[in-house]
Amino acid sequence: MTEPSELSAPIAKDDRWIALVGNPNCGKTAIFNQLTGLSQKVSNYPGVTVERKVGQARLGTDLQIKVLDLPGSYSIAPESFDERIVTEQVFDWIYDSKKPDVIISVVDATNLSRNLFLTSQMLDLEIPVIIALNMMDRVKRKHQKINIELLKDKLGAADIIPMSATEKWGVKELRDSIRRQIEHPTPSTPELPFRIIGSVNEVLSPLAASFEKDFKSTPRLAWSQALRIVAHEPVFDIFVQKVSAMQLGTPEKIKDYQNLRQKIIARLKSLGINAQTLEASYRYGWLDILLADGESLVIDNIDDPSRSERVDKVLTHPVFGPIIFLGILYFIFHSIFSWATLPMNLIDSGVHAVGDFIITNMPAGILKDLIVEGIVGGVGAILIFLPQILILVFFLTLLEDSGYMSRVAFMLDRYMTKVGLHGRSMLPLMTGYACAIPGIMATRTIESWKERLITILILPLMSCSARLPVYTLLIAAFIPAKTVFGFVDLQGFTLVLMYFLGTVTALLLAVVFDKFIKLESTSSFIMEMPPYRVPMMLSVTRQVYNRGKAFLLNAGKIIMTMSIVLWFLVYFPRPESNLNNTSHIENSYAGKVGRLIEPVISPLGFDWKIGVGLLTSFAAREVMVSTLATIYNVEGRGEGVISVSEALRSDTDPETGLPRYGILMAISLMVYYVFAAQCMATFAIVREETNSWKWPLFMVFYMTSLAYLSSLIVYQGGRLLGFS
Amino acid sequence: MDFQIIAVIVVVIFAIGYVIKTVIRQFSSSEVHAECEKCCTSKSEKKK
Repeated sequence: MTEPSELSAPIAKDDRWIALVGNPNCGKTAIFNQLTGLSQKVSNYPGVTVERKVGQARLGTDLQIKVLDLPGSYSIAPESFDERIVTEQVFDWIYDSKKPDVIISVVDATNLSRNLFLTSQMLDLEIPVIIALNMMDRVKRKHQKINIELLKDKLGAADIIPMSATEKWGVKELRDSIRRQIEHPTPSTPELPFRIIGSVNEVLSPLAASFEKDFKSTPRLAWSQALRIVAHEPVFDIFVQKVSAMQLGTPEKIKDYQNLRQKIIARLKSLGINAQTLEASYRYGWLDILLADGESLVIDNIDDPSRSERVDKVLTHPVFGPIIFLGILYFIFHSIFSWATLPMNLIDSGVHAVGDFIITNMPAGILKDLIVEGIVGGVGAILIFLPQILILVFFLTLLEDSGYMSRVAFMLDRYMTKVGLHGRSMLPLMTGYACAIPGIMATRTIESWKERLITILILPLMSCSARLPVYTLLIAAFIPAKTVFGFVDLQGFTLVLMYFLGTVTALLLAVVFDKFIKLESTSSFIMEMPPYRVPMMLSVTRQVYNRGKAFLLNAGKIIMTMSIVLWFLVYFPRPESNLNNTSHIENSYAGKVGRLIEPVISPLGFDWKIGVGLLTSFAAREVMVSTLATIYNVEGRGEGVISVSEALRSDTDPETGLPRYGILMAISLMVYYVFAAQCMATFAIVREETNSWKWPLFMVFYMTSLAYLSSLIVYQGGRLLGFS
Repeated sequence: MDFQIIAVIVVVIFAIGYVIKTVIRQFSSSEVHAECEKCCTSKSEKKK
């Protein structure tokens, strides 16, 4: 196993190492996984990788290297936070002595022109560049060819390796090529492959000359830096930041560069030349001529769009598209209930069998109580939800890997624009259905800080898989398992409603935040639409396995330890008199804390037991279930492991003899969980991503307030209408 | 003291320590990503 921290381990001075770069969704991470044996998430939409990762690869028996995987980027001109990571990294290579031994530029062979733009920028860096020509399986299937040798010569690349990460061929050749380049690096061409002539040459010359003189750059690198820095303000900012940090230039020198840049931009403007498109014009001009040469490349119509486009006409249709999307969501949530029943029953039987075995075979005592009531009862209550979570992740992975998720982002862009966001926010939001944390990290692909911040703030309202045990526990306990209107499964429909409530509220709040957060926002939504692909079962299985493993690890660590601590708080102090068990628990440490907050939560229909669950589930939402399980197991001591669902249904008020909980409380509690910020890890990641305490605190405040008010309205409104 | 009581004391102290450690780790910036990878995307496996 590799510890997670190893993935962000620094690269030491004497390490041999290579860097993987490429456009979003070109298969870079799949190649990284095959080189290193790691299992980083890969999928079929742009922006899966949003931070740098380091792994290790073995090239033969005597050579081990480090491999750096960078987020996908279209060029060294950042449009978003993840692309900025790439630009900063490249500037480190330019101005720092520790360069990678080799750059692997991963190129989607079905889209050469756009992909080679970034490659052409890499070729300027005086570092051997191997082009990993990925997705050649698709080129071959269409009986088309790319003249590899000619393309290599024309580009000036150290090597080009045709390969398919999907079909797993070409990786050995790539390893061999990397080794050859590490041992005998191919020298790069010192001149730019395209000519800058006339007035542009005259205007840019002083800046290029300064780079050559001040940083000992080759003419090629100096000119490409000049083009880039003139074209993009953020690139100039990164240049200033790096040069200052590495003490390569005095403040006066940096000021000179700033003045020179301004003069050049003004001069270009007076000549009628747009500085911002200058680099793109030269590079694409060169690449277009290069790729248009029919003798070297047969690339026309490589990517026959007809099949994907035909499917898109239906799936992204303005009317049918959203209906199909809603239908898919309904099918998924219905399946969560119907498909999971059998495995859930099996796990439940297993948990009871373990509990019964311990009760029968272990001598009576406090340790036995801890194991049966705290550990088996608490953890077992959570484990039975594993099948439902796996089904949810299975379907979400299918949607991602097939390319459908990107269509959803595109389709919903028009609605997202109305709430101050773009379709780009949709992918992180959809990721939030599995877990808010990778969703929040995925917001790094959003160009505008304001839109990114709003997406971060509303993302925890998307019902994550940790809420699923709470929803399904309450639905199974209180919502009748029947069909209404002849075809609507009431339990599945209730679950859909909870997801719908979170999603709609998130979008409405985006409108509010857009009005009140006073930040500049200028971004447009341009997203590459990946082709439809049949999801790789290995990738889907890996995602489901990883999620299941994470869930089990979580159950084995934080949920078990929380259950132990809670058992202690429920079990002690021991009663001095012959109080019945319910009265004892009410007077336990946990009972006292629960009773303390009971006046605040009783208007929502919650009693002290739910109150204790609300407090403990700030660690993780599903802890609510294990908390209730522990309380009921301590209460029903000696009777075996108790089913929480059954215990909730049969719990009665000792004074009135009436059921303690009903459907109204269940809906009120579910609504509370739709909105409440009950997740410590989300709080921590929002602090990290916003680099402040203000926004996570604001998030907890608004979400808790919203949860409280909504539950209050549901419960009190329901009572007024005569429900109980 | 009864073995079962000693065992419970040890387990409960360990559990309280683990919960406190987890809370601290969540808010230590260098650990945040590691935690989220561990619990949410499990990106960290290495095939051996």
